[in-house]
Amino acid sequence: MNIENRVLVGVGDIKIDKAPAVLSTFLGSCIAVCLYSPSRKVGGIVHFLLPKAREMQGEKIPRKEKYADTGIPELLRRLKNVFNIEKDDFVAKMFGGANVLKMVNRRVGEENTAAARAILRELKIAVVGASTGGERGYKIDFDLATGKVFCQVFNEEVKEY
Amino acid sequence: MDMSADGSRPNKAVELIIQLSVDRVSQLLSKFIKVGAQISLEKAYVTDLSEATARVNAEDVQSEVIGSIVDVTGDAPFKFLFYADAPACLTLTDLVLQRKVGTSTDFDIYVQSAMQEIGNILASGVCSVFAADFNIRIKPTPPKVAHDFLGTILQEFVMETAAESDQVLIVESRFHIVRYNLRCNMFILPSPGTEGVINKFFLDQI
Repeated sequence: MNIENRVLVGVGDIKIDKAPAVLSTFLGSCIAVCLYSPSRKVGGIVHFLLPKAREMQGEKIPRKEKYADTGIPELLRRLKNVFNIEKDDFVAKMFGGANVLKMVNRRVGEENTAAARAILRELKIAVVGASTGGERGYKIDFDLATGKVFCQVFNEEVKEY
Repeated sequence: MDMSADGSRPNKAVELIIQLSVDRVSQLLSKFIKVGAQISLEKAYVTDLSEATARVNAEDVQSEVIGSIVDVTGDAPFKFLFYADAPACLTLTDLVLQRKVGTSTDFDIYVQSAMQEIGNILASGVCSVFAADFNIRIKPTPPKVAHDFLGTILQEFVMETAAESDQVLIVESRFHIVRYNLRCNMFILPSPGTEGVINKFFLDQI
């Protein structure tokens, strides 16, 4: 994995690219859903903050990337449009959903994890790797040359998914 | 001081309250750790949330920090974050506990408590500027402390504001502690609408 090809993904953002790019992001209670086409070596990340758009915004959805229910379909739409690939070519991996600030009143990380799984199930995209939950942050590097995700939970060793 | 590093400038009232807050916080920190501390206002800018977080991470990838996050509620709500990298946290703890610098070597309960207390004092300093100088009623909540990647702590810091707005006003400050080369930062993140409230209170004062 060549770090010089790293593209940083911010909070509430989508980035799509092709090999040899490496998409990187840091996560707490947010979730990163990584979609990858092994045959074309292209993929993307959506780094969303909350499970549902309409809970916060009423009918207005100013930025689809911030929510699971709008962000995951938006990531898929962009990948299909830009690279002309069918949905069935993609596999998914997901990371994050931690309770870093040890909140007791609302566990956004757990809600985000459940929402991402439900939406991927609805879209019939297989989740082939995941690391979610806990109370520590995540750093992930998504290597589009191989489709591997190198995930480091804070203060732990890097694991490959 | 660069008020528009990567985005548009905040309004004059916000610029003034930010500068006053930074001055007040410098005095408070110096008194608390009994060492001269100067806090310089590096940047204050309105920017896109995703770009802001990606940019800070690009500058400081993989940095291990302890952050103290304070939610301030009231007429002009905002979030306050104070964080320092690993070596600075240990030095700050020794300064707070008035013991020889170098005594703290692990991220134990003392380090967590020291960082929590610094966050508490600094956020209260900012609140006092709002209250005493501008008559804005606000109240800090107890700090939440986390030891993690900088990127993770920043994400938790901006999360609630990001849910409501795509543009954020970020105030970045850097700390210079006399005799020690410490790297600490302070971020202030006003909630959507707070800028307007500050403006109104400011106009009422003049």
